[in-house]
Amino acid sequence: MSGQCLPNRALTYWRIRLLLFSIMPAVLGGFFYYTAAKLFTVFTFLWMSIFLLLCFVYYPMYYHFYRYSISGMLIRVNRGVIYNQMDAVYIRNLQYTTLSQTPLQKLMHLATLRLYAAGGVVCIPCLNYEEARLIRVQLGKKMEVNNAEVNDN
Amino acid sequence: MQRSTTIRRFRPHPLYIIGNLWRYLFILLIPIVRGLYYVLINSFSLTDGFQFVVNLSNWIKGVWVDILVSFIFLSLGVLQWAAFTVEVSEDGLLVHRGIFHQKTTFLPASRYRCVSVLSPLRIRIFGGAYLRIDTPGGGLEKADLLIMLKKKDCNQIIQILKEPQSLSGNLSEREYIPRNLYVFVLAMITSNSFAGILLISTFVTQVGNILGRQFSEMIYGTFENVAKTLAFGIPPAAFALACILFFGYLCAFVASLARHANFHVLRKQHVLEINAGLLTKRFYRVDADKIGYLDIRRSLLTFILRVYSVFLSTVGYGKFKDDVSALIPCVRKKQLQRSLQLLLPEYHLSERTVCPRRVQSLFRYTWRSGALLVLVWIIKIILRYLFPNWVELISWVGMMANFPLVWLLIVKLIDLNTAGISYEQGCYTLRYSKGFSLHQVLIRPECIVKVKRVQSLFQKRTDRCDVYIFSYSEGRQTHHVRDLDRKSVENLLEYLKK
Repeated sequence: MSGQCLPNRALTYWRIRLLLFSIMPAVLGGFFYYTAAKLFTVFTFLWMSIFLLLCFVYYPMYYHFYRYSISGMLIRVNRGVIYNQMDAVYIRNLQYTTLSQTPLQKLMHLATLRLYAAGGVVCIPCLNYEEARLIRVQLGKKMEVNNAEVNDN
Repeated sequence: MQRSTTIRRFRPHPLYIIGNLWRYLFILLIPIVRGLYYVLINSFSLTDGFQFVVNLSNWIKGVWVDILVSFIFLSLGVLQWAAFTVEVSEDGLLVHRGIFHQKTTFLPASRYRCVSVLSPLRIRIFGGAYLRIDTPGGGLEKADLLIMLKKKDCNQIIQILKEPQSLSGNLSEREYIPRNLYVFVLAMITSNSFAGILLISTFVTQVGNILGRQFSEMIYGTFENVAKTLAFGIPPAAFALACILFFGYLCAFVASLARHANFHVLRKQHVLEINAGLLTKRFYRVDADKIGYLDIRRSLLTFILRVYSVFLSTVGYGKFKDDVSALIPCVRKKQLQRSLQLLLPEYHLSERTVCPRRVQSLFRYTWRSGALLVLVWIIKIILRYLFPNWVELISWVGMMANFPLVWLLIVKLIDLNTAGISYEQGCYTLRYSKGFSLHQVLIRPECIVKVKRVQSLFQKRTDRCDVYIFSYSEGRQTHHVRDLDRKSVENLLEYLKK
């Protein structure tokens, strides 16, 4: 597999995020514990199974298959567990970029880079913050160079 | 030669704090719930039921919580404002925003298609304005960047973002100011009854919500009585419908007139600057090289009056429903070429070289409107048979339904005689109709992203085809010219391949 993979922290970030999202069904299940015991069992079994499946099977696989590459002309993102998807966009078609950080991402020095092209968006989640910042700056420069070349032609 | 980069930092207008606070309104639920708790807990009793009692002393003891919550609420708005910065250089805009969820957006200057400054009255009186920037990226629903800034900051940003003057020489500025009558005609042809009706009904309902249901019922009741009194010889319901449509149109017309008032266009080198608006002042800066296409639009009315309206299609211009999208509000045929030459000499209107055949293409152009006419006729007969007591109303509604369909049929017949494609001086001219309007589209080959030739089973026999031309834009924009000679079209499409 060619391309770069995401930092290890990305997997930890997804797991922590999942854990935080699990608080909601856990609290909901807590209410069922006193009112409907059977429902509590079924509900808890369901969300726990989904949690375990995502945490220990899906996310590690997603992380394993996730690859991104940025060449002189093209940005490619390979991802997917069940279906393999590849997003490819020419740098010359890029219009603008957005770098965002949630509070958790900030704690873990991660960032999400969104690249807006005419007609589509490519998103690279959970990049190392410094690397994401560097990519954003470099892409900005490349976009300007491409524009200058187009104008010269 | 290397450009020196100067970076200037701007913050949003202080009004942004108030405008942004609604997101955190839920925080105010805490003092409200606390207050309700002290009312309800003291007012309910198992023996006496509900008796309104407020335990003021207990509530006052916890007032510090309310003050703290209100402070947090206001602080969030101020912090959001403080965290929002716009760094502007010749390279583009770097926008930082967010306290918890931080976001940095970089918009390179070379990618802007349209830079606009919108100053609604409510913000203008506080010295504020919205800066809007659009690129071909992002969605159709919202602008790529929309910030509330001080008016002078907006002007400074626009000044910084201006590309350096070309070395080829300073071309003179050319200005186009339409006559007031032409703006009036544009408002007339761009107004839509339906939009006006929506505006009126929303207004009446909102006023009803504020002043009580009785008020809106009074308005509707008065309207009903007026309709009954003034309907001579026609059913009151039909008269009411006509009144609604007329007032809807009138309302939309006034809104459109206010939008297009003070309209003027300035051509500076390769940039078009468009100003318009009475209550909301609008300023648009469009790069002439990045225009998608020009659309010379005519309705049946303007066709009879022999006047033309030129609309400009580029990313970000005329994007939202309250935007201005015209370039030349209204001109006579003689002035059209001259006005275009003044503002956009890159575009040339040519006579059609490939066109449909008048007799053979007649059915292809008119069958839809003809079929609809027949359908309305059949429905009218069936309804008259089913509801004999409502004959008068059905006949009137049927006649009114026929009216736009006959109108459409006439438009299609005109289209048959005017449609076609041509290519001259590096510019395609596409003539076709869409709905009730006739279009003459001037498009340069580099702005065409796709061409589709479609030949139906019936067209194969006569070797004719329909052509769909897709233009470069944020969303999907197609231009459909019907029933043209296939070989001539393919010869013309050779130009595209070059």
